[in-house]
Amino acid sequence: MNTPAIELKAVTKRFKDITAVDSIDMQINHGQYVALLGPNGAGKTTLVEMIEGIQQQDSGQISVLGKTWKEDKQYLRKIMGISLQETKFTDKVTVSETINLFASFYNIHKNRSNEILERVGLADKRNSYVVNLSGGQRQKLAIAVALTSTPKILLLDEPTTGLDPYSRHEVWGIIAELKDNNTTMILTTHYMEEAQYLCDRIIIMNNGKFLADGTLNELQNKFSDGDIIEFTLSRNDNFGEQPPINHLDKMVSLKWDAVVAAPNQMKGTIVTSDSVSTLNHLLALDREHVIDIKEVTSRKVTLDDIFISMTGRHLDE
Amino acid sequence: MNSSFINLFLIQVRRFYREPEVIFWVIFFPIIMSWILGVAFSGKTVNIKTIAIVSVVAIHELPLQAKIDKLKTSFKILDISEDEAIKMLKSGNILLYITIEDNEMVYHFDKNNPDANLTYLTIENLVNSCDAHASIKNISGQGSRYIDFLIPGLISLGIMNSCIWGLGWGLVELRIRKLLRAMAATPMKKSYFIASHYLSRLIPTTIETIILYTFAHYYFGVVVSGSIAAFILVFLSGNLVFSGIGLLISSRTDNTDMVNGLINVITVPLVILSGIFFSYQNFPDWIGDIIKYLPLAMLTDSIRNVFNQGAGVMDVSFDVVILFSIGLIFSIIGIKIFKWH
Repeated sequence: MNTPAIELKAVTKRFKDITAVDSIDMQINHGQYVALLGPNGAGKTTLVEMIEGIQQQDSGQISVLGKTWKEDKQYLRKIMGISLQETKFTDKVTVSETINLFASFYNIHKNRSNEILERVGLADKRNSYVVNLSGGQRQKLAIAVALTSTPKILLLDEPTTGLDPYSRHEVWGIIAELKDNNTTMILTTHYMEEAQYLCDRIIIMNNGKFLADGTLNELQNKFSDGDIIEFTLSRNDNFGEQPPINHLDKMVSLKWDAVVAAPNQMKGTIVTSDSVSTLNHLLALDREHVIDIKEVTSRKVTLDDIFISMTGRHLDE
Repeated sequence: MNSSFINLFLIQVRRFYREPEVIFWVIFFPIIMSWILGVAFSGKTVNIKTIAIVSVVAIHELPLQAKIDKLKTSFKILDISEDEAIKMLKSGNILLYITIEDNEMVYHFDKNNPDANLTYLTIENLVNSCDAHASIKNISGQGSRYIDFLIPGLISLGIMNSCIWGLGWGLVELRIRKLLRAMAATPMKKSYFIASHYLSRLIPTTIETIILYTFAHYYFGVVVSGSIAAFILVFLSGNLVFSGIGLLISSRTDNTDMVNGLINVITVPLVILSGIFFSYQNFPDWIGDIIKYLPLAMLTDSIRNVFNQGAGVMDVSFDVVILFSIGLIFSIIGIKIFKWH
């Protein structure tokens, strides 16, 4: 198919004097898994809810599988699977009754609920009331509801917010498994690991605009000169305010921070285009007792680093 | 086949019977209410009024003493000081007290209080009666006692509360939980959703009505003298009208304080005005003429007609049509302005 699965053209949505979504263009291809990554209030939910037909844009065009909400509401409702943020299912209704209810909206047979509960790992909770489920189980139920109709388009709004790390990984496992089915998915999150783990395309959003869009590698290459080296060293009589490191091989930048927990130490963060050369140089200074390194780590640039470099804020702020 | 209408309906039913407190409100509360009011006003216990006579022991005048002795047969008489009598009058424990001045009985009571007036007249009649007084026949047949007046009122009160609170609260709760939003994002037929809520209200209202009637029938001997079909029509029209009001109340609201306030603003005046416990005929005529078209008053009056005056389908048809129409209008407006997201 040549038409993209989801296409947005100059979509804008305002609430009073806040522009929640600011003239966004976006194309998502069939089978693509896209993460909308951004802090709270970035406009992710508003954007997704406009695609879901729950909110209406003030201007611009949205089409899903070539159809707009005005043209064919019923069709779009049928092909979408949606998990909204903070949906609370009825307390004294069982897990399978909840799935059955939603299955019936799509005219799907009751047998589907067993299948879907197996898939999300809730089969043994089939007869439990929703009120007795843990946070992770409730989130799995929300995903099960979204998957009930075997949707072509899956929209998950913060599916793991508030979950403990174990439950989060479980939910990731379920979502990752769906990839074989040629489902197109948009997932909003403010966890960079979630975007990295699940999605082949990442869009970073802040203040209603897209700041960056690409694969993890593309973003890393585009927005940073390579790797990060972090190290701590003890303060030494040999140097005053600044340790005697001015230039290292292949170093792009160096930033010093105080270590609050250990006043006699300092922390340096190096951005480098070649971590091996820079590390060699740094460790040589240690061997020559110019500096006394306590700890050193080297890592790839993360989405959070990229986000901070673009906005000055952390993703989960 | 996995019908969405049946599923929606069953979810409502389950929500209802899986909440234990519902059993209290639907089953025990109406019985307790009718029992207390029925017993208090129906003569199951002898209703003796208390009056006070100041310094009764100091009375030596024989004719006066004879009069007071007569009173003792019908009233409970307290012998207390005037200060105490005034206190008791103010707190509503007595309606009237008597002092003796110059061998005359002097009555003290609020002339604007009809009950006190009646007590005064009764006393006067008792102490000054000539021997050939008119005979009195007690009317205590079915259909004319206070309990016969009360039970239809309680039935319609139950229908109103169950529909307005059940639907109003239920829908607002779904909206707060964002479940309404999640459902509206699916191909669910919205008409099924609303209809399932209306239909599921019939379950508590039917159970409550049957229980209340059964209790009143066996304990107080209340009977339906009119047509059952007429009663069913009235019952259904009452359900529709109050479900419509419940839907309208819930249509835009998304917080519980607001829905609480709205429901009380509507139900409290309806209960006070509509003659559930005491007839609205005591209001001035022009107010009564307005009141009789309030939905709760129309419903109550129609049920009373069927229970106590032997009304058939034709007799209640006007009220039923009006109630159905009001219910439909409220429902249409409610659906039009209903906020799904």
